Order: sequence, then structure tokens, then C-alpha cells
Amino acid sequence: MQGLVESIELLKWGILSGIFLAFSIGFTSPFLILKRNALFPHALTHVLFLAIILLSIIPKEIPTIMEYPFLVGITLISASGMWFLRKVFGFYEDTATSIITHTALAIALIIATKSSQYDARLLSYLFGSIIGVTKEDFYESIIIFFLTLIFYAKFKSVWITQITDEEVPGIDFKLANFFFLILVTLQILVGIKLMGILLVSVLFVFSGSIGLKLFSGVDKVILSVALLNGFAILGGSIFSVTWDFPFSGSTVIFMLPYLLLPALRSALK
Amino acid sequence: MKPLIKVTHLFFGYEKKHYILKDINLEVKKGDFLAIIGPNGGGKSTLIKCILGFLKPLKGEIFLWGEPCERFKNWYKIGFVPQRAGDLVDKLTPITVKEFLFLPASWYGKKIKKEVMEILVEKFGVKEFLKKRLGELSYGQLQRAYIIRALILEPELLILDEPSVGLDFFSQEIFYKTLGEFYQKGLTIVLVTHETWLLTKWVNKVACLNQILFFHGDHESFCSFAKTPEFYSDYHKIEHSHW
Repeated sequence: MQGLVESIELLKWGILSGIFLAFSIGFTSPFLILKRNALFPHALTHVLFLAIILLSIIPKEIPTIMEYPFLVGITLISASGMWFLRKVFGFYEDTATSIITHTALAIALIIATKSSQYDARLLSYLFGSIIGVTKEDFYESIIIFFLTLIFYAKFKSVWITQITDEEVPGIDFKLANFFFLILVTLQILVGIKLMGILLVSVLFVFSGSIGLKLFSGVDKVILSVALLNGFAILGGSIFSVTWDFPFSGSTVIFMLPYLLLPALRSALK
Repeated sequence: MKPLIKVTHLFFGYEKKHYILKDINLEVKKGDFLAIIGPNGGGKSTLIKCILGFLKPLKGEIFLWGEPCERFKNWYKIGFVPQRAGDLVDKLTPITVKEFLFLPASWYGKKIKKEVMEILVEKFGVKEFLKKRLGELSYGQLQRAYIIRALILEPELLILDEPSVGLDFFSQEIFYKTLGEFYQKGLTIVLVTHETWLLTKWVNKVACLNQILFFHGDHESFCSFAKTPEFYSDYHKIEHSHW
């Protein structure tokens, strides 16, 4: 028991950061799934991996404050690349996403190997590390949580409308979509430290799809996704500490039984 | 009185010099029930998209209530039911019918009158579905939900792009009868349709579009024009390269 308490003390910033992140993602993941864009966060993680690797080889004189705009900028360029492939080449959405994802990953791996980062640091990028989450990361997750609330309050009706309509007279979808992209990018950026590039998108897909199956009404769905994600972070932490599993893997394993919830509800009905 | 819609010398195309709409001139006045007819690919939906500001014309101007379309602000005055409404909705769509019907209030910052909501849900028979998910509705129920949403802010103009596609004949009859009742109460309607049987029932103006507007006038003139060989010739003449 004392070991568990000590471990929780060690992991507290990771757990707290994860819970705020889980709640933030509750506000975006149902919309990503409903827009058939569930693979989009996965693509963004690969793009961000490239951006992080690029950032690590840039001279240290560049101020830290420029890191976020740099990462968001790279993401926006890649998102524009996906748009370009769809509109100009006429590719399907998932094809365009796949091309950008793999290109970003390939370039990132080449740079990583050529810049002597092919070591434990690369592993921590790929699979995350709950111990590596600092107090500053926790503050970032709080800021992103409040940004999520602000963006949601501002663009809620447009995000919801896009589930049922392609166009509405007098309503500009572009601005709402732009801020949605920024928000998802920031959520992934914080999530990568915790869950790693390969598994952070799980937080956008598992709980979101279950919440959509279980509840009617957008607010109820969002609340359920936030809570399911929050439980997963707590459950993943306990699994991780108890059995010495990697945190990201434990979180995914903890989420797997969620898939039974719709069947359970049907049985109870 | 200024027309609700005025289109002057409108040209539109996705590629340069390959026009889908050529020199369109059209007016919709208060109290009109205008049917826009024409063959597939004739530019009917494209014209609607230009009027609603979704597409930017290559040449020409569109005025709404006398204001240029790009400066028009009072979009709440227009109710719109898109073509293939509900195509994006499926079983996972979590929005309840009530949430869906309230969306225009947040788009345009307007309040929805409780009595208007009650009358509409009663008239279109969706009262018992209000708490249901949109994805649980049948196609016909979904169509009705889109029409209620278009009417919820009591617009002056209702634009419908092939709203009864997929409805059986009986449902179409009820649908257009209800629409006719709103028309008689003063609603101006623009309807894109292939159902020419409608033209003899409710419509008082007809526009025939096949890249050019080859007829625009009242119902009686249209009936005479429709009997001429020119009508069939213009109706079937499509210049799209893929045809």
C-alpha cells in the first residue's frame, strides 16, 4: 500500500495532467468520429512527431515560447497538405491522411537516426512516459482544458451543425474548423508526453465511440466521453503501478472492456 | 417593393469558360411560389447555392432584399432545406430532434417562439419524436425535421432543393399540402423539383433552367410554353462535356 502511495506521489503530475486532458478530449472526439475523421488524430501525432524531431535539432538559441507556434504551424501545413491532396488530386480523405502520415513518419525517422536521437528518447516519444510529465505539463493541460471550454462555448452550434449539414446560409464553417484543428493539435501535443505518438489517438476513439453508442444528446455524450477517458487514465495508472506495465498500454487495456458497455446496456433493457 | 431575390446576369462555372450557369436573370417577389425545373445537370442546385452564398459567381450579381448577397446579414429570413437532407445522419448521430430544431436559434442569435415550435411539431407530426436521436428517425420523419427546422424562425422565404426525393406519393401529397398552407399564409417559396405534377397544384411561377434560363414566368404562360417544341428542345439540350 505504501508503495502505491509513493508511486502515486511520483506520478501525480502525469495523472492530473491526464485527467484534464481526458476531459478536454471529451469535447472534441465525438465530433471527430461523427465527421468520419477518427484517423485524423493518429495522422496528427505522426506529423507532430516530425515537428518535435525538427524542433530538437534546431539550435537552442530559439526561445522556448516559439515552440508551440512552430508545432502548430507544422500541423497546419500538413493539414493543408491533406486538403491539397483531396481537392487537387481528388484522393479520398483516408488516402490523403495516410500519405501525409507516412511521409511525416518517414522523414522524422530519418532525421532521428541522423541526429543521434535513435535511443531511449525516441522510445519515450513513441510510447509516452507518465513519469516524464512535469508540473509545467500539468499547467499546460489545465490551460488546454480551459481553451477547450472557451472554443466549445463559442463554436458548439457550428460543430454540431456539421454533423447534419454540409452548408448553412450565412454560417462560416471555416473559422470553426480552424479552431477545432488548433484544439485537437494542442490536445495531442500534451497527450503525446503521456501516451506517446503511437497510442495518444486512443483517447479520441475508444471512449468517443462508446459515448456515442450509449447516450442521446450532445452534452450527455460529451460528459460520458470525458468521464470514460478520466476513468481510463486512473485505471491505466493503477494497472501501470500494480503490475509495472507501461502507462499508455495499461490505459488501452483498461479501455477494452468499455466495448462491452453497449451490449450490457442492451441486455439490461 | 424590392424583390426578395434578384439575380442579374449571373455566370457560374467550376472551370474558366465552362459555364454551368449562363447569364441568369431571375426575380422572386413576396408571395411567389416559384418552381425551378430542368434536367439533371442543368444547374438548378448550383443556382440555389449561388443565391445562398455557398458558391461565388464568376460574373453577375445577386441581391437579397435589395442587399448584395455578400453583404446580406439577415439570413434568419431564409429557411433552407438542402438536397439529400439527412444524408450525413446515421445511427450514431447523437443529436436529439429537439436539439436539432433549436440549432437556428444559435446560428442567428434569435429566439424560437414556443407556440411556433408547438404548431410546427404538431403539424408535421414529430411531437412524439422530440427526445429521440435524429439517427433513429425514418427517412420521411427526418425530412420533416429538416423542414420544421427551416420554418422554426418564421422565415419570409423558404428555399427547398428537391425536398421530397425518397418520399412515397402519399407522403409527397401530405408534404406539399402542408407547404401550400404555409404559402397561403404568406410564405414565399422557391422549390427545386422534378415533380412536374406539382406545377398544376400550388406553384404560381415557373423557371426552366438548363444552363440558361429558357423560361421564367407565371404558371399560365408556362402551361402554353410547355406545349411548344422549343420547350422540349431547350429542356434536353445539355452542353456538359461528360454528356
